[in-house]
Amino acid sequence: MTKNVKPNKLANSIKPLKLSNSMYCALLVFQLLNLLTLVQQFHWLYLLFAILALALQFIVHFKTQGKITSLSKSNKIINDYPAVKILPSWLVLLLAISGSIGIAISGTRLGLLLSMIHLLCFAYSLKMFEVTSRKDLYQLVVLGIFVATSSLIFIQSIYFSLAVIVLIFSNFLILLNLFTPKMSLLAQSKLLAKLSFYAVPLAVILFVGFPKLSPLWQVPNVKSAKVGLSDSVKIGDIAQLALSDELAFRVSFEGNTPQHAQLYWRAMVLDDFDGVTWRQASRDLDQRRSDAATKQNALSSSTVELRGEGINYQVITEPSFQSWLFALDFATSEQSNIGQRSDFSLFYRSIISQTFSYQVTSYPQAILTAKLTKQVRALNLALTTDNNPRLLAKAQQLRTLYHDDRQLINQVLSEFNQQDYYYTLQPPSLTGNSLDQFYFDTRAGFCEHYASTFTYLMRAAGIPARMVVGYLGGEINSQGNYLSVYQRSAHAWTEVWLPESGWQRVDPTAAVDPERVESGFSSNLMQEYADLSSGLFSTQSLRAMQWYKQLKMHIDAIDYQWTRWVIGYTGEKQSRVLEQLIAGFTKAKNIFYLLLGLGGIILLINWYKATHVKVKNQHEIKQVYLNTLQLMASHGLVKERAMTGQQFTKFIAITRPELLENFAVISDYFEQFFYQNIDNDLSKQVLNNDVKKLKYHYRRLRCQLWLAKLTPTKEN
Amino acid sequence: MLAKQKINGYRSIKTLVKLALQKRFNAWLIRRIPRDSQQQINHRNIFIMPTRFGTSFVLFIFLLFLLGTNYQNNIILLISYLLVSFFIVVLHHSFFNLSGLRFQATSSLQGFVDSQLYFPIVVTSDKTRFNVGFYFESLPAMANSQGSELKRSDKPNKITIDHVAQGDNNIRVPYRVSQRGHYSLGRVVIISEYGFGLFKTWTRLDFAQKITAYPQPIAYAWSDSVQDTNGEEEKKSSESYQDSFQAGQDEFHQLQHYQLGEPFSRVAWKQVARGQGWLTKQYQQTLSGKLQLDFTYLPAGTLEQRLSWLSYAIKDCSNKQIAFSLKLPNQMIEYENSAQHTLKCLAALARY
Repeated sequence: MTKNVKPNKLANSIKPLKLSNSMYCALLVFQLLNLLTLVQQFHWLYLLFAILALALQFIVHFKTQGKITSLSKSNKIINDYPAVKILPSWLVLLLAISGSIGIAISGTRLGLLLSMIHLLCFAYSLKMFEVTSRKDLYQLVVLGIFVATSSLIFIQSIYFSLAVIVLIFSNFLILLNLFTPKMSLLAQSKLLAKLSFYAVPLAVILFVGFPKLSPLWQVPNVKSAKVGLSDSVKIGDIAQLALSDELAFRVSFEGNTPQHAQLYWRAMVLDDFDGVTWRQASRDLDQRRSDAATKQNALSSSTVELRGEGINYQVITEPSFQSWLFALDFATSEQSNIGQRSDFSLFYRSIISQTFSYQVTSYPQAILTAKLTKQVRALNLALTTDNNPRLLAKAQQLRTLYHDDRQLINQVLSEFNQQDYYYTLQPPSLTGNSLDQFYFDTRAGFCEHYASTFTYLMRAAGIPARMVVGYLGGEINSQGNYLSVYQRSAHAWTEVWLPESGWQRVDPTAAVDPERVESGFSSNLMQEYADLSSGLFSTQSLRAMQWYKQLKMHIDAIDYQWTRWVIGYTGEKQSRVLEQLIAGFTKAKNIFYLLLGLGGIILLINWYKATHVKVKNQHEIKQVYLNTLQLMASHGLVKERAMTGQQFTKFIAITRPELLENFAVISDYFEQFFYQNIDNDLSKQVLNNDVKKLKYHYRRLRCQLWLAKLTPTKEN
Repeated sequence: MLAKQKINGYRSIKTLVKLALQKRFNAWLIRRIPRDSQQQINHRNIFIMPTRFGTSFVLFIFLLFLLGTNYQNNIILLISYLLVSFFIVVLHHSFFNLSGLRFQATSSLQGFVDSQLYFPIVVTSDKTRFNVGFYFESLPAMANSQGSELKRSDKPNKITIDHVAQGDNNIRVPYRVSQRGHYSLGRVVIISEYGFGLFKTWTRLDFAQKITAYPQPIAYAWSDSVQDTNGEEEKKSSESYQDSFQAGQDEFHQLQHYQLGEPFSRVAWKQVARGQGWLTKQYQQTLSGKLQLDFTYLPAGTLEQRLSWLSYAIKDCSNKQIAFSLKLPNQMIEYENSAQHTLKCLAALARY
């Protein structure tokens, strides 16, 4: 890194690079833009440094521009000047060393990836001080492109990506300007846009067809705060999460989308309750992980009895920086980087640090674990604390009343339904996280209150039960035919184990607020949600508008396609797409048609080029001439049919000599062009220029005629 | 000592191989791009190679590809593919920047050794082209004698036209005369790095024109000793020249239209400022007299030295309008006083 920063000794022997002021400004502006792409990742110290460095250079260059312009009044030719030495080389070197040390020290806090990026950007900032030769300029441009590209490690949304791609190509303007200093900025941009556009087809072919390699070596991961559900749930956590409007994941089903009430997206099972917090049983977590990794398939065949038809779907999750995956029960996935725990939840074998897509098949009617091992049974009956004595008593009372597990469950649920339990995003706070207080006194809570209490009751009554967290439902995007699940759909429910039928999903929320399960948030809940989530200015009114909803849906659909086909274009997907393509091509007919079509297009283009350009220009020249005649006629100078063009010119020369200059140009050119045929090898560009010239004369003629018409009336 | 000999031996082998390769290459080049005073360049005679920057740019793209692969980041991969295809598009674009240019050069050159001459070429283009550089390929003999330093220092005799306009352009390519004689001018290298500096597009055209390089005029102190001037050959001082002739002052002769490549110092700025267009000042010298120049009567010196003295004398006589005759061992040119006569005498010196 520091090599870039060191003063270039070779540069002394070569004459210094001279650039125009606009070029320096372009360099600075592009540096600013390139750094802006990463602005969210920067440490504030570097940010400060970069801003200071840029500001300093901007000021110096504005000053020199002032000097140059005052100089160039006397001598117009000298406009370029070598880079001003703003900082002495030793200071730059000192800055480089101290900065690198600073980054190295804060490296542990920043993480490897971020400190590398800081180092890169730091070199980029300093490099700007040392633009003494063309080589430095090249390095600067390449560094800029690298900086802009590395921002894509962090953000990959369609608009950001497209903006970065445009920015990367705009960086080439600097190089283009180096070689065509006299071209206007507009022409340069047009040329660059044209060339970049030409680059697209091949890039698309490469993207679709070039083999996707698996990572060649381990790279430092993006470190970020965990997003979404966490692996320990306290009362109130999910209600908090439900205020987030962020996207969690998106799903597209191969067949019909199941009912809303069926869309229980399982993320993880929490079976360890200490009276306050639900956790995953950590005792054998590691062992289970490794178990799951090796015996994934064995596990599912021995404890799961697959029934009914499978539902195929693809899930694309947003980066959560955790490893849970979301799927409907009972989910199987054949992807090698996905594992399955013994509680049937899927997990990714690493941290999901960028958008990740996976294919799942679910069997909703499967019977899970018809026979429970003693160990698991004990785990799911464990009640480690006694801080909810009233619930315990209630459970024992129920047990004496109902011997059948199902009847007991139904009784609890009907109590939830019939008594005045209230489903709300703003539950009253509970002292000491007491479930007793909720169940018997406040009776208002969010899903985790109900799920937690229900699970507790079940365990107390001797029915193995566990808490499951995940998401419920999702919003169907009709534009793209997919389901978006947002963080606000976070949900908690219970699984109870019943003999013979295995683990069964029971959602106490459904008993309290059926609408939540059937179709999502009820209007009451939506109102609460809006009240809670609106900040300084409310988007509530905007949200309600139909066009806004439509627009949002469109934008989201575009983003989804981008995520699915570009970000989520994995090696497996690639081989599938290529297979389809090849299958399509192998039909000989298709190839024949394709070649025929291509040949036809090429022929058409050639023919068009060969004939049309000339015809068009001929036509235009004729048109200009006819327009001129019409114009003359409208001012009383009519060309008789019998007159030849030359005669008319002479006539004009006699009657209105002041018009002759412009008229003669047009009529002479017209005659030369149509009657002398000396123009056969005039190129398209020459013709175009000629047409422009003729039009110019036409305009001048018109102007003259108008003026002539105006002046006599004044005299009169 | 042995090591030194070894190195010398190695060097001689290297130069031999180099020369042999060059010979073959030149033969191939003559077949590929034949000599002609009028040439059009196209795919047959344009060479295109990535520059050092271009090569490192490809490496950079590969780096991006690795980054994208390791992070399994399709957007970064997409960018690396976009840049690769952009690279290929630029390759074509920089080719088309030169392709189709037509060149015409019909005049041969005359001049003294070590003087700066300008070789006029008419460049005809059907569209605007950018950043086209012209320079004379340095002859192998010259490159050897002057060392590689000159070659590296960014081609001092290169003229670069930023903007070649549509139509005819008159371009004067600087030529530094290095050797006395009458020989072929060699190839003009026409080069462009217009392709974003990623590509070097060039061609080497031989316009089948010759140069008559007169010996470098060196003043000889006729009255002083030979040693004095021997040491300072390059000093073209006329002060020590024979007393009877006064040092001629350059006199303004006429204004001519400025042509691309002429030095700015000769531009008539006054006229430019008045808006009379770009003109250059042409100078001429005047005087009169009569003299006989005889090769055999010259003081002792090497052949080249003697020819140089003669050359100076001829030049001086011509400037001062003195009629003179030239006698070389193999030929005799009679008294006369005209521009043609001067050129004839100088040509005789050049060919001797």
